[in-house]
Amino acid sequence: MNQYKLNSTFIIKVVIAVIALFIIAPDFVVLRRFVFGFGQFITPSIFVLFFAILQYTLLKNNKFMALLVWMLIFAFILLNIKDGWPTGLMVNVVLTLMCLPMTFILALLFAVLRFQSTLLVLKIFATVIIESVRGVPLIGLMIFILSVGADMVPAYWMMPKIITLWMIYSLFAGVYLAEVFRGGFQSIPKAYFDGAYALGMSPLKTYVYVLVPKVVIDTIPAAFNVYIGLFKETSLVLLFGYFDLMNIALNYLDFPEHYDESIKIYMMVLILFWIVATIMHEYGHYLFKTFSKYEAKKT
Amino acid sequence: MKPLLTIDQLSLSLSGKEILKDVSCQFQTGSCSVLIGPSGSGKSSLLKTLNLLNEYDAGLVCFNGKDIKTISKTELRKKIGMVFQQYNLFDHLSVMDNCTLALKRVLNLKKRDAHEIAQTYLTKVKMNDYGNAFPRQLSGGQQQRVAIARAMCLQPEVLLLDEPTAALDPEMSFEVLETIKSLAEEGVTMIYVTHEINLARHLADQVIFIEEGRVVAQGDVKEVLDTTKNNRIKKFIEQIEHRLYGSE
Repeated sequence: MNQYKLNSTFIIKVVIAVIALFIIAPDFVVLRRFVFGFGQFITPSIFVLFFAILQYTLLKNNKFMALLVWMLIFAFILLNIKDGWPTGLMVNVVLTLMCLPMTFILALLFAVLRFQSTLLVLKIFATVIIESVRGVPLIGLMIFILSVGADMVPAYWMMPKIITLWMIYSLFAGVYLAEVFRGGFQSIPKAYFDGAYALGMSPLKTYVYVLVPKVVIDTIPAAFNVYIGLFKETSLVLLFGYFDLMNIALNYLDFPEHYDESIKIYMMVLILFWIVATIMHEYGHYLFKTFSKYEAKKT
Repeated sequence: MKPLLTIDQLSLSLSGKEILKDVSCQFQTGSCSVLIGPSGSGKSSLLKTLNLLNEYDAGLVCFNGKDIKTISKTELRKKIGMVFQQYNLFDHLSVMDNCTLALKRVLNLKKRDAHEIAQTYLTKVKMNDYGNAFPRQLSGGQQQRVAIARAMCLQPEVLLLDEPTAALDPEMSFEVLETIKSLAEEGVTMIYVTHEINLARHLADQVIFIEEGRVVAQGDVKEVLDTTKNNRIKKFIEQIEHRLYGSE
């Protein structure tokens, strides 16, 4: 089988970017603060550890373990909320990773509901949600729900702000991903349905065991497009008082003694975002190569 | 002897177009029936109707003396397997997963038992070394043999074959035909749609000629293919043999 090898251009790109970072950065302390925020090391490190385990479970094709690890990650995040949310680039990374599973689940659900034609009410419901959420700007949706929406519900319904943000991001990226998945479903030949039905599988089983795995694997590259977009959009949390990378940079530049460093600082911010996006892209590439072995003969 | 499958005055229309009209025929247990006829005559639709991939409008199809509409679709399809012209394998699953999918998810067998059964049938079609390969890495003939093994894994009483060799070159179709012959010798009831007149001569216990949704002739091979008085059938067979062996 075609075993995945780390792309050498990827390594060169990232190494150059990291070197550039160190050259541009005023000093190491600033760089460290941009990435990890104010002295938060343990949270991100454990996070990375969890992610490594997740990687391993995916590699071993153990879906149950992968789900368990995602749940652990999520529980860990929830437990950490009251001790203080991480700051710096880690806000963006942690929030993205937190949104990924929910985005995926919502997208799959909406895509299937919109694609199928048996349950008409649910089909209409999914279509309405997808089209209305996709048609408004993310920032408008966030401000509406977090300010106006908060006034409309009773106080005991109020959730931690980060949970609300998590839901908004998941929903917003979810509807985009749902359309990606729907495209995948529509490209499945009718032969798949006939083949599965002729084996005695019910429509539900056909979806769960045949169609969904195929669509998910086939759309990995397009899905990572959405995930990278999600990652970049997480910098909007600065509007709600989170010290994400962008906010830390803006804050840093507020001090008069840093006024002349603005070009350097903005370049640093952009390079940091770029590095994470590139790593995500490479990870998507890796997943696609690992799971689409059956494409081997197709050139 | 009581027939395994009976079709009585079956009519079928798909999206407003009438495909089958008043089709009646019977299939005996352990027999091999061959459906022949020109393209678009409704042979494939008839096959798909037999395991309810097409819903028919009027008439009666009985399996083991029971109306197939009263049997649940899953139960029916467990007993009536189907092999398609374009193999219809799942590209993203390995050969072994293709074969064990239905065993695991429809019959709810354990993984090990499913593997054992799949291995048996893959050995029968001589594909046992390719368990870990993916369909796209195989040749057409190999894929079709896997498709036959996949259908046979559920141990159906009837196997429907919808032009299994039509998309294959002669060498590959030979591989597949060998497999089908060996299955026929084991006594699997088969209903076979084909243009291979020679295969029909070797294999068939019964030949049914269909044209424009009607059964034109049915009976044993000699009756329908050799001593027929029907001009249409004569012309059809002549054309096929003409195509196969060239004009003189």
